[in-house]
Amino acid sequence: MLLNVEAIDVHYGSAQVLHGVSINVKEKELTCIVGRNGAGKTTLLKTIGGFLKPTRGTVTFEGRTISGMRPDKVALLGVKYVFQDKRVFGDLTVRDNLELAAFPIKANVDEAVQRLFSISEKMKRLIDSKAKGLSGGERQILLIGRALVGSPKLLLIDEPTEGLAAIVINDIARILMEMKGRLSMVVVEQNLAIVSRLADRIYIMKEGNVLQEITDAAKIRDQAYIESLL
Amino acid sequence: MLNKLGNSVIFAIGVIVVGFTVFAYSASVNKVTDFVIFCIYVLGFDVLYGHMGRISFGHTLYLGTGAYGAAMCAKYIIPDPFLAIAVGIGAGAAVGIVLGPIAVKTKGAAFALINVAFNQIGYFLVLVALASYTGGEDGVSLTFNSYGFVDFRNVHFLFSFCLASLVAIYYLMHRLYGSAFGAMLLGIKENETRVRFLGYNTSNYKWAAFIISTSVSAFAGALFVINYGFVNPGFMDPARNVEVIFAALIGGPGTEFGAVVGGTAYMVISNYLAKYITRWEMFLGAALLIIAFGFRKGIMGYVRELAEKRTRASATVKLE
Repeated sequence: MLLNVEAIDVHYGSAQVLHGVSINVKEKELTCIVGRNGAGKTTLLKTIGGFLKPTRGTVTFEGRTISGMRPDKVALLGVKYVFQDKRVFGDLTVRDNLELAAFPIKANVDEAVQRLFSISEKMKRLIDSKAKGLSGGERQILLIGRALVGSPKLLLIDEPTEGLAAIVINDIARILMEMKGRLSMVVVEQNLAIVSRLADRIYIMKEGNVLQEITDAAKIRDQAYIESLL
Repeated sequence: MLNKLGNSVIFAIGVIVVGFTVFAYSASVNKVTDFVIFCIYVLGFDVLYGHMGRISFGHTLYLGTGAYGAAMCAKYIIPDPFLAIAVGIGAGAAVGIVLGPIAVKTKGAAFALINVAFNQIGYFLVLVALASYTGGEDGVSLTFNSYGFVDFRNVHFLFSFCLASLVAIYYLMHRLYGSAFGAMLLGIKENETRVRFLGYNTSNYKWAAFIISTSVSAFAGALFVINYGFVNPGFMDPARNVEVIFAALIGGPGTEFGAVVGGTAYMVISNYLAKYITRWEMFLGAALLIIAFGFRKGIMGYVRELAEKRTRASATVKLE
């Protein structure tokens, strides 16, 4: 098992947001976390990424306890986070955004640039543009490309299609599909059509709890069934 | 970013050298030497403000540390100008090393005010607590050794040395901002949390930036002491912090050339406007208000924006 989240509780001040949440992520598997707003999906990702510290339970990555570890140390272990709000470093160019990601892990910038081009050809003409001029979809592609710098072991992607136009959503889904099987991913997503297409494993979350784990392929492809659980 | 260094920096350095030289020999070499040193100070300040998004309301502490470091070296060890400069820079770096870990834990108003607090402590130390060494309010007069043509009492040599120092600092800053370190500082300015998720221990990098800023400011302080031949608590007066903030704002925070433009503009205003208007500081206050509300990008910020617009426009025309 690559990632093991074991019975974690997470609090924001005195308010408990996660209640004994447990999930497992296998190597090269795409795990989707599904749930309504406020279910605790983003909190779970932030806890795995080191941004929040669980008050109980443990998070282990490759057998090593990472709960409570600083985000930069978690990132250096190969866990990369793609945030929900699609904010890039706007005053930097697309290339500089990649360079910034490459520097702490001593990754090759040219390889990072080529990988970005491989997931989206249109980034070629934008490579030296300031990132603040990118559209929402282009930002999301850059964020995924930036997270891929240095070949991470696990990607945490928070609502990658939220707020994007239908045509761009298809593009993002295609990119995720192409990445599937090459590295492990935990994707928080509310778009069930995409979840059904992509997921190897689904966790349904509600009010800070994991209601159900779905691994059966037939059930994963059954959107109506997943919808009924939310 | 590194590959983008080149013609622009050579052109900028050319403008700085020619501009200051013409200005010095058509106005006053003494005065313009002051302007040049002040620009170094603004470049030091702008590491934190323009590039890391942290405004310090106590930067005269670091300028004064360099000034007193150089002066104390000259008075109590040996009046060698190069050693004095080295001690001044070292003192600034040491203060950055000690205070940095505390200061960089904060941001916004807390960062600004914690620097004022440090500045007040430093000011009290040189004015009162260490007055037996620093000369208190009267300060200390100094004469530096000369070695042949290396004579800091010669205004032409001093001007050339200070101008060369400005060029060197300008180039170093340009290289720094063009590196991944510079990109990371901008990243911290925009969103520090995201930078941490890329694998950076941002505290260490902010500390490094803080030390660079205090060292460069201290370098300016040491040069001021050599230029004036004395040091007094005015170098560390917290009330003078507005000078460097104004200069950075008017020139355009986050641009090396903006720091030079702003530093020069401020010195021109404070030196020449004072000739005609007794309370010229009142106009400085009004100018600050205008900048704060309607001109926040400063001169170079607007020049850069205009250039970007032109580039975009020409690109659009080509596409059509």
